[in-house]
Amino acid sequence: MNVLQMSIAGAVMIAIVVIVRALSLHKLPKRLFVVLWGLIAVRLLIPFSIPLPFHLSQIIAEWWTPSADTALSSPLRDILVTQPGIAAADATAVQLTPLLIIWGIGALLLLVAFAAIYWRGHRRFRVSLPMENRIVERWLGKQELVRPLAVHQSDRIASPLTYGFLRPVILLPKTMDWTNRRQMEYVLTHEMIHIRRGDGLLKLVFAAALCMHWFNPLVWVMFILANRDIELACDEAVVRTYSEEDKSSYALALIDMEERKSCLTSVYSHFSKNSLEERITSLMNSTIKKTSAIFGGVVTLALIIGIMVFLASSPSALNAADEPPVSDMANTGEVMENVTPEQFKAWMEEQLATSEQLVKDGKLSQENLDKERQNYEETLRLIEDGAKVSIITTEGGHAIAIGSEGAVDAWGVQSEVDGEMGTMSFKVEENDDGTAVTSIQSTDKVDV
Amino acid sequence: MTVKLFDSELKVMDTLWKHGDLTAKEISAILKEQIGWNTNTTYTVIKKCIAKHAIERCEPHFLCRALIGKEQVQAAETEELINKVFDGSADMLFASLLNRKQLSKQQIEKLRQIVGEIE
Repeated sequence: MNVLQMSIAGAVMIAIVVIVRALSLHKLPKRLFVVLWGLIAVRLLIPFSIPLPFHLSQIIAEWWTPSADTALSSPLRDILVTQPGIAAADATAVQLTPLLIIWGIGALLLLVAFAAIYWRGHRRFRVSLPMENRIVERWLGKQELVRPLAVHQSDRIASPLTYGFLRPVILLPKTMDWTNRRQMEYVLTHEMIHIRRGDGLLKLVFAAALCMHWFNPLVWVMFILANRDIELACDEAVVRTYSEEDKSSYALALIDMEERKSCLTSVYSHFSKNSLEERITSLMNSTIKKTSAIFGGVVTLALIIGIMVFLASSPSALNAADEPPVSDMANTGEVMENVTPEQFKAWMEEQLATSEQLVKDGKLSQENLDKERQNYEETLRLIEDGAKVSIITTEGGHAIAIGSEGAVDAWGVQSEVDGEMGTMSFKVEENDDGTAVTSIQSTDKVDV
Repeated sequence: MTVKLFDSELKVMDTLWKHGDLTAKEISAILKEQIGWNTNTTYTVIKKCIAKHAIERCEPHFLCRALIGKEQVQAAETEELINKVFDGSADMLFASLLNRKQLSKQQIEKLRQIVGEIE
């Protein structure tokens, strides 16, 4: 799978989640969305694919490139639908097309931008000073974390945040009200939940996905929403620790700490951020009753299953939907079906080149090479006339199936037999009663 | 003092004000013990202070000398506070401090002394 395929699959999934989120964000547990975004990020970052008999992505690919005849669509088609026949040779060698270079530059720029933000933050945070505050100390005493936890203060930040993975530090701004015990505890608990859940790492994953798919606007949408949902899920968890009545005071604390910062703060878990309104609404509406919970559970299950299926399906060239399987031999190999004239020409050149080499090595006679070329040109003419031709490549050689309207009219088989190339061509004729007769037209170095 | 010092820089200055001139290494050791900064961090802050002309670097062993005194910084910070929060009126700051009613007997006595000196 290449980046574009993953991006398109991801884009569809993102679109679905965005719609669901727009309709029912406040009726569903926010953690659900974090999980969904996470699954999508996995799809975007890891190029795995499990070919399934049906594949939505191929349907989309075909919908995108409506007519297989236009030469314009075929390079796009080649990207969208993996073609083992022609593309096999190029699969290992990454072609440095201009598109790839542009993608590489974009990804690198974004990577550098993120790295710069993290580095700048790191430099500012490491000069923070420890706190001497009774509320903080008492709170710290109650915490249990495997990793050593510290709480510092800084005069260079405007809202509380958390940094560090191995030695997490909660950083509080100097401008906070140190004496407001409730507010302090809310802030500390909120940051603690981020630490416990490893949200810092999660944000890194989303940033990585964005670097890789910077060209996809939906991935930018996902990046923004995913970071928001991480905060929402955190709020949810804090409010769960405290009673429902404290919700309003928590909401007030959020408003109190509101800070207008315009730079990219999505990299560190900030306490209050953009879309404060969303957070307040989410908090105040978080009376999730039993029915909503069940509804939420069902939706979760459906979405997760749907997304896993989409994750797994890939445009597989083993799609025999159009052509009936011609023989067992055909299904053990790779199939290129309904080849366009350009595709056939390209394939033909390859085969002829191989055969020419064989002639030089003495394994094939010039006469047979000429016959082969003749056959190919005839087939090419048939394709140009609208016949549907499929090329089946197997370990030993290949077969060309020429059909029109679903039935196979003629076959050509070429395979290596004892180190020599043998060819056979058949013709399939339909009798009046509907049965088919296969007659051998010619053979060469093959005993029938 | 033209450039404002951040808390981290004030911490380094504080160390110099308390112990007099120290080498950068010594400052690092003290701060590592006190607040857990690693050596690189401390050196970076020292260099920032040097750039802001708060510290002077003397060459045997990177000796650091404070170029400004604590009182200077306090005066500057107070000035800034008065201007920012009390609209430039020192009386307002004074009144606010008195209103907090947290002055001990000794503090009142000291204030009386200072007022006496000014008069």
